[in-house]
Amino acid sequence: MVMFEAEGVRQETMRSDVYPRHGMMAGATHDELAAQKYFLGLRAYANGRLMTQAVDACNEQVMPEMGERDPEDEADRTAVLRKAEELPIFQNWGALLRTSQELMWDYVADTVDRQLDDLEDKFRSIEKPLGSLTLNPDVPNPQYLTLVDQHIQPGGYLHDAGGDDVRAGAIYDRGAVLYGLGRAGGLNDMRGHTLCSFIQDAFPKEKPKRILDLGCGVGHGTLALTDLFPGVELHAVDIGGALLRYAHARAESLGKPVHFHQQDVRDLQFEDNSFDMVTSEILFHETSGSGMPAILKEAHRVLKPGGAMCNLEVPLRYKGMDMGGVVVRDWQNYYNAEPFWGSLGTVDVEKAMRDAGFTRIVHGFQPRTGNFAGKRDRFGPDDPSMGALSHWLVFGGYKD
Amino acid sequence: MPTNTQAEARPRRALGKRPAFYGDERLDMLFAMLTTLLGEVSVIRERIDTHERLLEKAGLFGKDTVDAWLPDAEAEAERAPIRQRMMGRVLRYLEEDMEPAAAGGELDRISKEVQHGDV
Repeated sequence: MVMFEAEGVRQETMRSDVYPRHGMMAGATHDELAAQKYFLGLRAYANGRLMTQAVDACNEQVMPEMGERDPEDEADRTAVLRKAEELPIFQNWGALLRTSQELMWDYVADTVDRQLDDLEDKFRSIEKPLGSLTLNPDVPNPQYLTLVDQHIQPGGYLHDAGGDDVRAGAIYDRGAVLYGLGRAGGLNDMRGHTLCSFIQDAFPKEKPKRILDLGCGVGHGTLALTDLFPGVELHAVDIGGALLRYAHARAESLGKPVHFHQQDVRDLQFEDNSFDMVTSEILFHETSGSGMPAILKEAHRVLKPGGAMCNLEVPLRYKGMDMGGVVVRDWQNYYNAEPFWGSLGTVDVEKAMRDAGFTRIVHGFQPRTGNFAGKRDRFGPDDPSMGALSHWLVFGGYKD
Repeated sequence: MPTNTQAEARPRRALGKRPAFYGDERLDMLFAMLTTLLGEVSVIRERIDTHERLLEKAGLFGKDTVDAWLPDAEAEAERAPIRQRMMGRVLRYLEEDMEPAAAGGELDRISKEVQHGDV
């Protein structure tokens, strides 16, 4: 990995050989990789230097005219954002961030589409799988995923051409690794390890035999659970068929036994009281105001009494933040097609868990780790968020 | 059921209309085109760098040779017009009449004349 400092932003770039070596990752050609590195440079510039100036301009030029505003109040946030959007620096930052996101998906689609036939062949030729894949294309898609293509990935999580299509998963995987390179670990499993370290810290006595992972995507977080609990019967649910075909092939190529299911996390097709633990990683911020409580209720239903639910989310907490910082984050709602993102910055996760029936609830910020067995030094709900580069929001509780 | 995902079933655009950050969709379109073009230039520059490194590895010549090379009069005479043509193509808009109303009015008049006039 080559590291360099650009305008005070630590940027990390890569050579093709730092890409994770699992059988399903679509490898890039020389020019594709050069384009993807260009994206990394654009993103670092937009979210570094430009965003800092946009935040400062909002705080210094907009806020004095706006009076007292509450970062937890949606109307206040929107009012400030609308004013900030009149600032040239804010326009430049937004235009560049949006365009860089579009380019990222387009560059990655080049890489995936060039070899999609091979990837589908790999899916077809899985031999003696350790896990399984249960698809149900008839399950209705939640509206919160059909109204937008989440983070403007063309086709979103849901696009599925049927047959052996793995495209949505292949694009998401390479896109996510590119987006998080240097922060998310070689298999993009840093969040999974961070969730595991939360489980170890807050639920140290749990030795689950059967786990359900919700909104698993391509399995970035899911697979770490097999390391924390060797021999566990691990089930994982998502809604996208092409996403899950890819997830299955990826897990098999890494020798990890996972049973993937195409289901709506608000309407799980599992028996009551049938799991020892339910987990999720960065699921809720891509759902909705009515989706989040419905999911928590379903998780409570399928958990055995005495079982625990453990969640990891983006460390977005608006309380106490300056409005400039808040509105550049709230921007994601509107321009990066993550419409529930801002709500997650204000939702009371403890209350949401309690309302769903959970007890002995814990929540806080878990230090980011790529190795759950490593040393940790901070955890608590009163600690300030240090941002996704160092801490993640975690919350969990028991079904009594 | 298709065995492979057909090219036409591969979405390349996200749902919805592009936002206009500059309050003018045409300006946003130009911004996006320029940003994309910079990406293409960046890829080409990287490819040239790769060529130089591979040529050096093959024992032919490397970056230093390229940096130290000076075109002779003949090479310069061939290059100058190439550069001029490229500059002219990109920069000609700076000196043309870009007033859209005037140009539009002009074409409107000509079109009317061609269709209905005695032309």
